[in-house]
Parts: sequence; C-alpha cells; structure tokens
Amino acid sequence: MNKKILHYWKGYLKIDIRGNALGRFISQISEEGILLWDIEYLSYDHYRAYLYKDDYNRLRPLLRRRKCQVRIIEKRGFPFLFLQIRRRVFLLLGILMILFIFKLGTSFLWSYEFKGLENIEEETILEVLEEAGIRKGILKKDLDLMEIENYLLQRIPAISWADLSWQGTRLTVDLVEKKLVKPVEKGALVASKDGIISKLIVLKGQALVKEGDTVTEGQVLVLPGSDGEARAIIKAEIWYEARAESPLKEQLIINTGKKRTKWGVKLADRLIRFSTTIPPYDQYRLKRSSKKIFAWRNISLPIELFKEEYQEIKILEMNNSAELALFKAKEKALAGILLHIEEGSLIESVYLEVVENEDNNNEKIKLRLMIKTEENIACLKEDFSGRN
Amino acid sequence: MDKLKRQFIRLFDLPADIIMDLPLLLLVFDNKLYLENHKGISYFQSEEIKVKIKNGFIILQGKDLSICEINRETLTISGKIFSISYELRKGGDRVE
Repeated sequence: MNKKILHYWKGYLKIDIRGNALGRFISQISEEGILLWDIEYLSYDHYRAYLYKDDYNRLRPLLRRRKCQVRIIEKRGFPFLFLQIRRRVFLLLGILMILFIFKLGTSFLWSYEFKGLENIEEETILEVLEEAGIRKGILKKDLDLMEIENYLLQRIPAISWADLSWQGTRLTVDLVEKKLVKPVEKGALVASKDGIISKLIVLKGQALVKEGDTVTEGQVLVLPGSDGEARAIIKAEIWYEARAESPLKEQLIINTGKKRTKWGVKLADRLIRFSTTIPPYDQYRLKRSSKKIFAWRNISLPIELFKEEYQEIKILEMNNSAELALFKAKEKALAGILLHIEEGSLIESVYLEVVENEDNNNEKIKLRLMIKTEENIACLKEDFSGRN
Repeated sequence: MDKLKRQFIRLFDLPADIIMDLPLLLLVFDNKLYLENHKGISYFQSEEIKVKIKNGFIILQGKDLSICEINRETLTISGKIFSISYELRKGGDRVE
C-alpha cells in the first residue's frame, strides 16, 4: 500500500517491451538500477511492465545497443494528473460549481437557537432582532454580532448578558435573564400552625405575643409598623401525632407465572367464547381486553374480538414478626406526619408508644408516634389593616 | 581465496549470503518468492524463470509466474511455484 502511494506520487508508466532475449534485457535494466515491477509475460518476445517515469529516459542508451522496442501504453500517477484533468474540464467545472453553491448556501442565516430563556418569550427576542435588521435569509457577513448584542441589552432590560454566535448557518442567542427582586410585601404576620412559640425576634412591627405563648393557627403574631411592613423570625415548637397499626398476619399474593389465554367474540352485548368458560385455576386474576375487528374512520361493526388472560396466583399467609410489624407501623405513621412538616424544619424529638390492645387480640400491633419539631410559623397575611 | 573466506565465515559465524555473495531466498508458501543477490534474469516465461546467481542458476517452475519487482539486488516473483532447483557450474561454492 505504502509502495503504491509512492508509485502514484512519482508517476509511473506502463510499457510494452518487444524484442529477442528479453530476459537478458530485463537483467540489464535492473543492473542500471532501474526499478521494474509487475513484469508480465505475454509471449516470448512481448513483455509488459511498469517503471517510474523518470527512469524512462535512462532506458534509451540500452535500447540503442539492443534491437528492442519499448512503447508507453499508459501514464499514471500524480505528475500526469494535470493531463487527465485537462481532458475532463467539465468535471472540474462541476466540482468548482458545487463548492461555490455550498459556500453560497452556508453564507446565509437560516435558523435561530435560543438558550437561557426562562421568563422572556422567544417572540419578544425575535421582534427585537428584527428591529435590529436580522431576518432569516440575510447574509452572515453583513451582521455585526457585537452591535446586536449591545442593542439587545439596551432594548430588553430584563437581560443581563447576551452572547450571539454562529454555528454554521444557525445563529445561537445565549441570554442570561436578570433576577428581579420582589418588593417587600405589606401586611401582618400570622401563625401558620398551632404551637408554642420558642423564639421570637421582631425586625419590624409590633409583637402581640411573647416567647412561651401558645398560639393557634391564624392568630396574629406581629402587627405591621407605620410603613405597613412586618418582619420577624418566629419559631415555634409543634407537636405532631399519628397513630398507625400493622397486622401481624398478612396475606401475600404471588404470581406463579402460569397463564392461559382464551379468546372470544363479542357480538353486540353477547359474549361468544371459543373454549370452555371454566377458569383453569383455583385462584386467578383475570385480564380482559378487546379489540374492534373492523374500524374505519367513524364506521365500525359491532363485532369485537376479546381476549381473557387468566393468571394464576397464590395467596400466602405470612406471619410477621413483632419487630417487622412494629417497623411497618412506624413507617406508616411517619409517612403521615412527614406530609405536614415543612421543609427546613428541625425535628427535635421523636416519641414512640405501643398502644395496648383493648380487645386483647394479637392480630394487630398499634402504635402512637409523636414528633416535636421547631418550625418557622410566620406567615404573611396581606392587606391586614385592622389594628385590633 | 574462497577457502579462506569460508574459514573466516565459520570462525566468526557470519552470514554467508553477504560475504560470499550468495543468493538469499525467502519463500511464502508457493505464491511469493523474495530473492536477494541475484545476477539477472536469463530466461523468463509464465511457466519458468531462470535467475542467474553466483556460479549458476536458480530455476523456478510454476504457473502464471510474473516478476513483481526487479532491482539491482532484489527480485520478487509471484505466481504459483511448483519447484525450485539449482543448476551449478562445476567447482561451485559449498558452504557448510
């Protein structure tokens, strides 16, 4: 392979050698240091071979001495490429034309891509871009991206950073939106939950309760000050209680994996089964699905093909250990409580109590779970004007 | 002189093909032969090639034989090779 590239680079000739005692002639050629390759025997006075084009002139003194003829059949390789191309002017023109069209096609703006948009609509950006003179189909080189970036920043105040770049024929608009700070809302602070206040730091306004007070949901905690704003850090101890139970005996349904499918046809309201209707298993789960045989647009025949799949199941009685039942009950209770606890709350203590069975049956385990948390209960109630 | 060379080769364990100018053959199964130190081709046909070496000839017989490459020193032959035989002049070299 390597050699072939070298041959191609140097340029080589396919030659016909005619004459007598050609074996000798080939020896003489090789003694001159000329490389010959792929020598083919055609007849006793006719060989065919290849050699480099530069070596061809060195054959001449040898030819003069002997009565041999050498004729070039073909010229191949890179040095002759130009010759070949001259013969194929139109192919070359075609290639150039394709390159030209390709270049032309890629020098226009064809599409947009927006990145980083959250609250701003793409249409607003597009409108501003159009104002700046950007449309699909304009020449890429007419656009000064820096200028457009500045224009975007000026026109849309909600943008804090803009970067425009080309990806082929696509204009990528990368934006970062400003995060607008919400103005402080006015109103009083009320309790969001029942609890005992453990910490109270008033920043603005007038407190109506003190630490250690028990508050109920909706009770006003801090009244707004003269500017109508009330801000405070109010933490309260809140107790949650949940009860849960878990049976010591449980039924477990197991799919055995065996199944049998039965087919039938539903004609209007009548079911016609192809096989017996007796279910094949003692305990099973039945899945029924049906399919209309003929349906085209709104027209359909009242014939349906239905499939009944009987899946065998086994019901196992499981005896849970007391520990497992307790664990399950605890999980259940905890899941119920966690729904109500807000994020960022601090769980201070957990209290667990197994409730004795009154009716004295040992089939269930009952428990009471109590959780004490410290939570922020301050909740802004807007438009609070009454100073009662 | 040759005798001296032979002793020299044996003494120093040298490659004979270089010192004595003997042919070195490398054969790939029956379809390719590399031959070094040839002295030219005396006969070439698609069934038989006779290559001159020091003190004689190597005769290759086969089918569709062709010379892949020929150089001052090396020769590559391809085709189906049936046999390789030597035709040496009397008093030819022997290397033990």
